[in-house]
Order: sequence, then C-alpha cells, then structure tokens
Amino acid sequence: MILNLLKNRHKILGINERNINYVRKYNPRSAREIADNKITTKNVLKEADIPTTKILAVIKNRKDLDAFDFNSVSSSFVIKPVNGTEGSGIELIYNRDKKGNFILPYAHKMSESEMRGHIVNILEGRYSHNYAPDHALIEERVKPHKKFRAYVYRGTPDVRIITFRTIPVMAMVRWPTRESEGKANASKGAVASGIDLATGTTTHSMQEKKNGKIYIVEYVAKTQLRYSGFKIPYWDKILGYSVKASQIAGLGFCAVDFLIDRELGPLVVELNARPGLRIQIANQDGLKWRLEQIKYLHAKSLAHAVRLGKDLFGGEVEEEIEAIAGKKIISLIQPVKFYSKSGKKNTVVKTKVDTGADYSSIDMHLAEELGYKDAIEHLRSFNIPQHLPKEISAEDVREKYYDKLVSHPDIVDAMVIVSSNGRSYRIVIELQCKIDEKIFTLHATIADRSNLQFPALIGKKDLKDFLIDPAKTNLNIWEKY
Amino acid sequence: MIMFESFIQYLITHQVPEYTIVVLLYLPIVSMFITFSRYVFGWKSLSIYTTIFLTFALYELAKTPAGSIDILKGILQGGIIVSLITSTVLFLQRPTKDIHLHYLSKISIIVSAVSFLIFVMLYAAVAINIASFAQLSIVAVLMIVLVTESFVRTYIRKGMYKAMNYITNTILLSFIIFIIIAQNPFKQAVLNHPEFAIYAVIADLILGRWRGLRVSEYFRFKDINLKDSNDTQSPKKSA
Repeated sequence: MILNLLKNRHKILGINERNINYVRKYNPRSAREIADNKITTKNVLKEADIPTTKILAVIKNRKDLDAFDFNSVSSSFVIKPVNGTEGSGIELIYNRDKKGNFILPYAHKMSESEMRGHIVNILEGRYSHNYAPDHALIEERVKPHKKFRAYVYRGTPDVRIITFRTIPVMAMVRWPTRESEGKANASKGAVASGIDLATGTTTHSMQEKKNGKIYIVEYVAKTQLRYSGFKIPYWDKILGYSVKASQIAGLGFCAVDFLIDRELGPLVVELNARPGLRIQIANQDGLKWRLEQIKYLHAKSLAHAVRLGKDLFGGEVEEEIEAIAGKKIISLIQPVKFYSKSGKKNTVVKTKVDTGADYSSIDMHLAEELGYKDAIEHLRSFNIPQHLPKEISAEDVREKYYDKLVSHPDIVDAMVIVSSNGRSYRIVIELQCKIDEKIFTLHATIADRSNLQFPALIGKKDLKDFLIDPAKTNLNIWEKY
Repeated sequence: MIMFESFIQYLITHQVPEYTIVVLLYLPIVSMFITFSRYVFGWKSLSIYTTIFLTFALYELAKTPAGSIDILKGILQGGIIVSLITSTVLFLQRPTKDIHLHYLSKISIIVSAVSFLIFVMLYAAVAINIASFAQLSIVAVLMIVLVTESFVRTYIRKGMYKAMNYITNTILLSFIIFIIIAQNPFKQAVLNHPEFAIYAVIADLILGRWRGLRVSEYFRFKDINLKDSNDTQSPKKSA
C-alpha cells in the first residue's frame, strides 16, 4: 500500500504543501479572519443571501453572561466558541428538564451553573486558536433532515465541500456516531464518507478511532445499512452555495460546511480556511492533482464553477459500477464516435440506444460519409424496392439477392427488417466505434434515416457490453470528443 | 565562517565559560532538529519551546559538578523528574476539575504541589543517600515545571488520550535530541566548527519551504487506493 502511495505521492496533498502552497497563497489574511470568526462569517454570508444557521445570542464577556437568561432562547440549542478549533467546546442541548437542567447527548445533564461554567471556559479562551480570550455563540440547533435519521447517532451530519478558486474539488459528509457523542467531527470519531461530486452520492467511508487509527467502514454501526450509495439531499443547491460562499468570503482554498435542516434545507455552519486532509481518505483520492488541474482554469460564473467541479471530478460512483460489472454505463442518447472504413476519419454522432430494436442501424448518408458508398451503390444496383410489398416473402428475397449482396467485401450480411414503416431488405456492414474510451465493432444495417431524429441507433445485439442508465446525462458531451 | 570561528575562540580565551558557549551554539541546532522532526517526519510534539526547554533541562541535569556531561545521569534524573512531575500534574486534573477553579488558580495549585513533591524527592534522596540527586539543578526543575503548563493545556483541550500521545512524543523527542547533543564527539564537533549553528539556520530556511509529504503522512494515507495515472490511449485504428 505504501509502495502504491510512494508511486502516486504527487497526487496527495500533505500538510506542508497545504500550508505553503494553498492556505497562505490563496487565502488572504482578511479572508482568513472572516472564516476564523463564526459571527463575521455569518454576517458576510447573510449579505449574499446564503442561508446560515441562526444565531440566538452572542456572549462576549462575563457581564453578558451574568445578564443572560437561558429562558430567553429556545430549549434546544448549540453552544460554540466563536474561534473554536476542531469542534472542541461545542455542546449540544436537546431540551431542559423540569428542574431547569440542560439535557445533553447520552442523556447527560448539566445544571445551569455548570453551563455558565462552561461558557466562562469558552470566554477565557480554553478552546480558541492560541488560547486567546473568546466569545461564546448560542445557535439554534438544526433539526436533521429526515433522510439522515437511520444513519446518525444523535446530532446532525455535516456536509463539507472543498472549493479551490471557487470550483468544488472534493466533498464529504460526516456522520455523528456513538463514539463522537453526536458531534460531526472526524477527529472526535465521526464517520466520514466521500461524495461523488457529480451526483451527490456517497462513496467510501472511514472512521478515525480514539487511538488515532483509521478504519475503512462500510455499515452503520449495528445495522445492515451501508454508508455508501446515500444521495445527499439538495446536492446542487449545496454546491451552488459553497461556490458562492467561498467567492464572497474571498477564500481561494477553503472548506464550506453545511448542515441540512428538515425545513430550511442546507445551511452554512462555517467556513474553514485550513481544511483538514482526511477528506482524501474518505474519497480514496488525492486532492493535489485535483487542485493542480484547477490552477489555470477560470470559472466564468457560479454555475460554470459548479459544472467544472462536477465534470472534472465527478463520476466516481459510475466508474466504480463500471469496475465491478466490467461494463460501461451509457445513456439513452449516447454520443458515439464512428470511424471511417479507412480508419483515417471519424465523426461523433448522437445515437439512440434502443433496447426495443434487435439490430443496430445507421443512416445511409452517414454510411456514405464513412466510406461505404461502394456497398450502398452495390445494393442499389439490384433495384430492390425500399419497402417490400406483402406478396414477396422474406425467403424469396433472401434466395434471390443474398449471395450476390454478400459477395461485396464490405457487406457482411443482409436481412429483412420489420419496422414501423413496414418490411425492408437491408445490408449489414461492420463499423469501428468508440464510446468513451471503449472501442468496439458494430454490426449495423443501413437504412434511410434522414427523416428521423437520430442518424444512428444501437440495438440489443450490440449492447451486450454496456449498462444503460436512463438518468445519465452527458454534460458537455461535444467538448469531450 | 572563519570569522565566526575566531570570534568563538576569542570568547573562550576571554573566560566565557565553555558551557555557556556550547548551550548557545546548541540552541539553533536543537531547534533545527525539532523543525526537521516536525516537517519531514511529522513528529507530533507540543510547541517548539516545550521541546527546547525539556531538552536543555535534561542537559542541565546531566551536568556534573566537574562541568562534564553525564548522559546516564541526565536520562535517569530527567526520566524520574519528568515522569513524576507530569503524572502529578495530570493526576491533579481530576480533583481540580470537579471543584471548578479558575485556570490560573488551578495552575498555581499544581505548581505548588510540584514544589512539595520535589521536597519529598529531595528528602528521599537524602534518606537513601544519593548525593548527586540531592544536588539536582533547581533551574532544570523550574524549566520542567514551566513545560508542564503546556501539558495541562493540551490535556484540557484534547482530552486524556490525545494529550498523552502529544506529551509522550514531546518527551521522547527531547530525550532523543538530548542523547545526540550530550555525546562528547558532537560537542567537540560543534566547538571546533561553530558554523554548524549557522548551517542550522540555513537548514531552517530550506525546511521552511519543504512541501513534500511528511513520513507520517505516508502512513496516514497508505490506505488510499490510488489508481495509476491513466493516459488516454489513442484509438486503435483498424479498418
């Protein structure tokens, strides 16, 4: 394993390089200050109409704390240090009991004086960067989206998008577990799953145990539920907000963290100017090569940035299915590259994938273009009617023309095809084609398809090596070729 | 470089103690070692000051009344004092946590406890008649006590498990560096070539721009199943 990493070390981003080449270079001090202060972050994002978690109160000093009445806020909230790191000092409060005690995860209870003590610790800077005095933030607790319920232990999962020069490059979701005590911090024992950028579907998952060891996990603890294959709700919205947030804050390289509320949808919790590198393990891929690809790209708009991220780095789930099945996934309307007879020319054509048809078929004009004019002329020389009248049986035609037609070197077969237009006698040719990176031989009948929408059609006999995904859309397909 | 060498020679001939000069020359070298361990190996230690303090505390403890360096003495005395002070400090966390004290009063109590502990140790040393221990360098003890404050902070923030990890790493690193610098040939080499201290600064500059993966990261990321770069092959053209 280490050998493989040594060979591919140029793909992985390490802390040294993150700090020198990315954090310091792309995140100006002013932007870092916005990200480091949760209150400023929210004010900045609010101006750009990006939804954030709601602040109920800010406690700046002992005086504020003494004057603060916990009854003035709802009974379910979160307390955080404004400048906290790695999720330390965060307490989730679910409710209050009759005596006024706060109910924490694990049914732990905290009296009001203990709560005030915790806030004093925050104010004194126990959890802040460099232990500097800090402020305490009281936020509304996000009610997790229903889809998450089976996957989390208490708490709310946290979706993280890493953006570089506003383009999303990698994403993960962190699931609170029993070990993490309902917190969504991977350093506290939450499970992290990588997300396929194109579809928002989870891929691989990992968990860091208390002893610092990293384990690849598959199932939600004590269940048969897989972490992979989960579709994150509001995925496109999340990507859109992440791009916008990083742009507004002026952070070239950052992580945008979201919580997904049952009613309000995705809410930004925080921006992180020094994103951790664990995300690479959860995604089973390196960040560095992705960042390097983007260094010289320029996203023209927010939508363009999202599209770039999806196109460049998405499609992992698909690749995986392809790897398991050994078959390529194609869409119903699939671009196919046809090579000419000589192999010197090629053309890309939108092709209809039709499981209702037995044989593939291409348009006569396209075949002529590809160098099969000779074969078509050969067919024409026999003056076979385009639509066979009822009185002529298929056997008769076959007996009469088959041998003569097949004598031509390009014609491999001839057959009667029954279609909605009636019966016709067609010749079959062999063509070299390419879908994505896969080259294969297509046996296609030649027909006049000039009045049809697609000049070519792939039928069942040529679809054996493919899986069809009706939901797949090929973005920018024409640029790909 | 020759200028620097003659400058050091000048100081030595004018009665600046050799020990002072060695420690001053060691400072850049030790800090470079720590920098190296962090950025190249990914050694997870506490702040650089903590490690420097601990290393020189050990060096100070290893000093014999005659002025030479006794590695074994440093390791033994250092080991006993560091482990005792550290465990006392961490042990005191529990009771002080439950009575909700302010941070500074807590630290004061801990420092006082350490002071009493040293008394007990001194008494024990006298009782079983270990003269070298009874004469232990109080400056070194003070340095170790100062260092424990950062231990406490880490404990509070990171929790027992991670704090122990960091603390062990820090102590281990300072022992390793101490063993290196306490070697007589090493001391002689640095005294004969004081420019080593300047080379250390140059090394710091290089390390400051070091962008490669840390050794620890090779282990951390070893489970990432990276695929080899796949170059798109040009299509096989067959008619």
